[in-house]
Amino acid sequence: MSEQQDKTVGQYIKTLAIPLIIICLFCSFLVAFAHEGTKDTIAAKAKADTEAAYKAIFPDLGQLTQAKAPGGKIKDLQISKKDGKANGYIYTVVPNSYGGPLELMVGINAKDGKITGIKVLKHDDTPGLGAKSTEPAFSDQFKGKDTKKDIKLVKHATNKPDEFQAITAATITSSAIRDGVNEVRADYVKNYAGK
Amino acid sequence: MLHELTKGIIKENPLFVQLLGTCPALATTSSFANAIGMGAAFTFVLLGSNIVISAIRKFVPDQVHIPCYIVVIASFVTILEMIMNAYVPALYAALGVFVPLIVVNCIVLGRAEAFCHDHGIVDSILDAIGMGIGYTIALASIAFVREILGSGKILGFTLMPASFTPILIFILPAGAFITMGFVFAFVNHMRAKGEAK
Repeated sequence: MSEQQDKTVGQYIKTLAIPLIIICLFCSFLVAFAHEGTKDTIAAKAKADTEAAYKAIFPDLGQLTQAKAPGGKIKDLQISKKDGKANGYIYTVVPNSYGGPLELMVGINAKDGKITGIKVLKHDDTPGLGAKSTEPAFSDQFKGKDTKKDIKLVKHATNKPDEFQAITAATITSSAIRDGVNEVRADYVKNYAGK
Repeated sequence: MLHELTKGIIKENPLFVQLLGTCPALATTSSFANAIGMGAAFTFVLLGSNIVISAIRKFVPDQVHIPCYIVVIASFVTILEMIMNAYVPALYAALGVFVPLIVVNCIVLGRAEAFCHDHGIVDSILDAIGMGIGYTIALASIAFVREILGSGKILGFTLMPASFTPILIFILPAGAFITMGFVFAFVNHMRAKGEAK
């Protein structure tokens, strides 16, 4: 150690800092190069995924135009138009859920004001439990739900049209989905229903 | 020289013998496909970091060699994340946090410290390939047992007879520990037998 203590700051910079800086710069170039090479593919894939999600929750997809998001937890709203008339609305909403916000897409048919489908895009819940929210067995429950009233979460088999069954052992995620869908529903009724 | 390649597969297998990298081995072996994917991802990072570290080993001052190695390893993991995100997004999503965690995977830093530190590039490449294959085989063998007992399927093909009820615990975390224990015991029993001969 004594030998090291005798060194001046200048020597430290020369023997330790400069090699470290050179290595960091070299690595930065490698990463930057890889980023340049892959960013277009990643962006294209993300775009294709979003379009596939739109199509999945709203099959009768027309020309999409982005509308101003109403705020709150709703972060994106796309209006689907066919022959110049709006035939559907696709909301992206981010309610608070287990382990962080959950990203949820909800499609509404403009003709009858019913939900055409929902899709959980992103969640931080445990695989095998909350991850079931992405499976059709759960998400298909929302197809055809009316937007006039709030939907309710129940923990038994559903027997009323405004109810859906929670995921076992993932109540927080199920409630988050309920909150998201209800926020979307309320906004739809307020701004678009019957117009 | 061939010894550098083959030693990682059985004699110095990183998982079975050195008992390194057990955390991802528990977490990513719930399916055979994930285990192969994790093995391939790991091999990519190890190969990159071994090449660069053995190339810069004379240039790196001793006092700061750990930060230098970590920077190199982290760069390759970041590159790997970008490539996986672009070309195999499903696998990337399935492996989740265990891809970025390769940065602190003790095998990668362990090989840098124990091998690349005083070996040339060619030896380090062979070492990385051997260790990568060894780790992949180890992950795949644990995943094979877990998936076949836990779901009766491998890569989507049903292998077990219809009368077989899947033993769900083998896919859950507890099953990872049980399987790993038995697989380690079996492999080390076979090694001990081989050495006695």
